[in-house]
Amino acid sequence: MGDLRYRVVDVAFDTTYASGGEPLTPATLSFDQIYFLRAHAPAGYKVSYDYTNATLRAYRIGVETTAAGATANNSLIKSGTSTLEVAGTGTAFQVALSEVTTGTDVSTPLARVSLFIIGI
Amino acid sequence: MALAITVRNRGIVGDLRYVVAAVAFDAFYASGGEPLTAANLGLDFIDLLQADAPAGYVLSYDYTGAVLRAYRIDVVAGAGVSGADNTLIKSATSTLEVAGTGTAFQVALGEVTATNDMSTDLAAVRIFVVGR
Repeated sequence: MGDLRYRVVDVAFDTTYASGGEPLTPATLSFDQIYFLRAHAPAGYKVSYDYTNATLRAYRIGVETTAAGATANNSLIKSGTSTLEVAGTGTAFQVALSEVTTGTDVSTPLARVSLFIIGI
Repeated sequence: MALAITVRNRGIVGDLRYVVAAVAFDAFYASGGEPLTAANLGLDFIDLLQADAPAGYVLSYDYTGAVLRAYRIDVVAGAGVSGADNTLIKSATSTLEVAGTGTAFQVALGEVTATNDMSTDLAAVRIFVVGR
């Protein structure tokens, strides 16, 4: 492909998700440098490549433990139009997906993640 | 309100051209997405644009509007009335669940609100573009 090379490979995550993502270096994929990596994640996950740290990071919806007392006005409810809504007088907010917690077993949902890689 | 574009590589494949670039969102997300035209990438037409979004975001290219749109979980403001039966809770199997007699529902991610600062979360987005 021009002066670049491409590869399509499948990777499988293991039973213990590594902090900051699973290492995946260009050398592992027989590249000197990765210019672009697109991951097709199954099972409702999102997987993206961290070019700085050479890791493959997995994301999903995250719900944290409570930091203090519950606030009724910020309870999440299903709205009348089937969107997510804060109850009471709580204000709107947006949040990105959360990285999978370190140590989580994702070997089943992420048993086959297809990668399309372009590099040299 | 503009993307900073750094072209890392470009070339020709068959009768098409490709561009690999890094784009950085700025501190004011534009309403409806950040403009990204074929001309911005040195192309006349974009056939395919794939974006690899970091930090738990989802990005998609709007070919009609020629903008790059960012999405994340979206929770709208309350209407002032809470519905106990529709309150979300953690189920016994660690899924999200409506409590009481509320019915199940699904909702897509929401586009990032205009003027939000994306300069940190989306500072380094890789794109692969095929065009002419």
